[in-house]
Amino acid sequence: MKLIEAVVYGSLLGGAYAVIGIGMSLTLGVMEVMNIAHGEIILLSSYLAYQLLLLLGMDPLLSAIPLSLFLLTLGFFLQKYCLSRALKYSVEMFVITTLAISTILENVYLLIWSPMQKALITGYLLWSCEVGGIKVPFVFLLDFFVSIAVLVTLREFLKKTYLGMAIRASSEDWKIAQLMGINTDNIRALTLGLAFLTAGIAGVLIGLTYPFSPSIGKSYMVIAFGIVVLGGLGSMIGTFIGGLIIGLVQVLTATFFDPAWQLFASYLVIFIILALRPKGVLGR
Amino acid sequence: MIVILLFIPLIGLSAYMVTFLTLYFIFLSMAEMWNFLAGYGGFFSLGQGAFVGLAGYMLGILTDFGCPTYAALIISSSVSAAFAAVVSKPLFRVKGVYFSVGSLALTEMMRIFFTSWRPPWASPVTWGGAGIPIKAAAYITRIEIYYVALILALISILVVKIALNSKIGLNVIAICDDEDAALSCGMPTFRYKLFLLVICAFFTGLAGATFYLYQGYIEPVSGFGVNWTLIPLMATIIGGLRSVEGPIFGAFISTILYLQLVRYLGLSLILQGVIVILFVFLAPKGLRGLFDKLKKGSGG
Repeated sequence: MKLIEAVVYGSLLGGAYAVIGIGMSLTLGVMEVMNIAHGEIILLSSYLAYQLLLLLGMDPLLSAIPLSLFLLTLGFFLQKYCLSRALKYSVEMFVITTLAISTILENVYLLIWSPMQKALITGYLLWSCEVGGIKVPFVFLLDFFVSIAVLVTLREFLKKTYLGMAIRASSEDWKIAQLMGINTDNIRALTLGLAFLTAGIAGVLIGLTYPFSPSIGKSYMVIAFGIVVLGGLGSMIGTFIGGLIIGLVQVLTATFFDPAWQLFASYLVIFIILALRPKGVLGR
Repeated sequence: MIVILLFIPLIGLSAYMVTFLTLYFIFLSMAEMWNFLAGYGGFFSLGQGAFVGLAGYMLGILTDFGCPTYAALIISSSVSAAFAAVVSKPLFRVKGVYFSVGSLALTEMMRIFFTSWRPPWASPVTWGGAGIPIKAAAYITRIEIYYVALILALISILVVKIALNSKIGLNVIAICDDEDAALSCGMPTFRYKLFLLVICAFFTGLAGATFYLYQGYIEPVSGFGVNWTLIPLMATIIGGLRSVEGPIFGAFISTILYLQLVRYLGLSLILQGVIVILFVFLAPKGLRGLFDKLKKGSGG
């Protein structure tokens, strides 16, 4: 019984982790860089949702929409006018710049919101439904289904729309895409914008599920990195499976060993997979 | 210059200046090693904290068991080096940004490990988030630490200089420029990368252990913190990547920032971040690059 419960919780939580990872997978797949500040962007969305809830009483699920649109614009302009200069110099400079951004953001959050944990507390936080004797919190179901919706929408966007096809074409070959008349600078900016958008959704979901504090952004970033490592690049299914593995490892460790070690266990799995199968569990 | 530095504590300099120089030598050594790894080897490690923290903790544990201070310094940095050898396999498996983010993830993993783990012999008030005291710090004078740091910095610079002038250094640079080409020339690239990482981990660990000998206690959040990456990174970026002389100046600025803002760690980290971003955008080759440009400008 305990095992079934842990597996159900882990899989549902894994859904939310998939949304954390998809932004990282997108930037790595298309731009061949990783945004170290990814976790802090997720936190930005959590904190802004918290502030909106506190000041205007706005429901976090409602504020997720303007927040993710705001982050989309932020990501677009950040890449277009700022990070593109670092990327032009080298990939490593991009990584260093985002590390600096992540450090700045973390310490700004510390100054504004203090190191104390904050949480998005809403009326439906305590709702739950019972399926076959297992009590499933509503928030976990929300995490799971919203994340599936995000992954499916993103996949369709990349497959069906003109912009999506331009992104995929550019990720194959920048030079040729440019010759075909694609504005690759804008495509890069759009990619980071989309990654920020998913981070915005992830921030609200994770904020509803767990309390958050300024220092937790690094853990989100490592989880996102882990999902990319586990799932391999460029597939939504891989990302989803990566999220599931991390969710399962965490909940199983917490249930059968010790909750203090749950993050450590998932990090360990990331490194074992990196050593054994660097192209991911599904990788060729 | 070196002779002057050797006699500085004896001519009765203020305690502040001795502290300043001690920290400067420690940061300089870290910066030289990061520059060796990132500038020459092309491996932009963001996980220097893993080596610093591990060596610091080992120093605490070893001196707790009565190990002599100098032996403990060497052993704890050797543990850092051995750790680097163990993790080199997953880290070097995938190229490029994976190494950077992987090393950062590794540091986070170590931080969580030392926050959660409590050895069976530990007293209930130490370990965990509270950290451990380093006993040896009570028996060593500031002047002694000054000399340890000075020798450490000199050896670090010497090691990088010698390595760069030898076959090893040339091979490392070749791997940085084009690993596939180096591999197809029959070069055992993994062995050189391993050597580079182990050397870097050993001296970074030694510098870290010296720092914690000076500080007197270690706890996981700062021991495995991102500032151990930012300090050498900033020193190198300011001075200029791929130059042995660059960090000598850059570390100076790192030390001033560290000492002036040591009470406001948050503010200091924000400022460090801003400086790094400014240098990446305005002078990606550092002050040395700017200097070269000026010289070229006036000459032509």
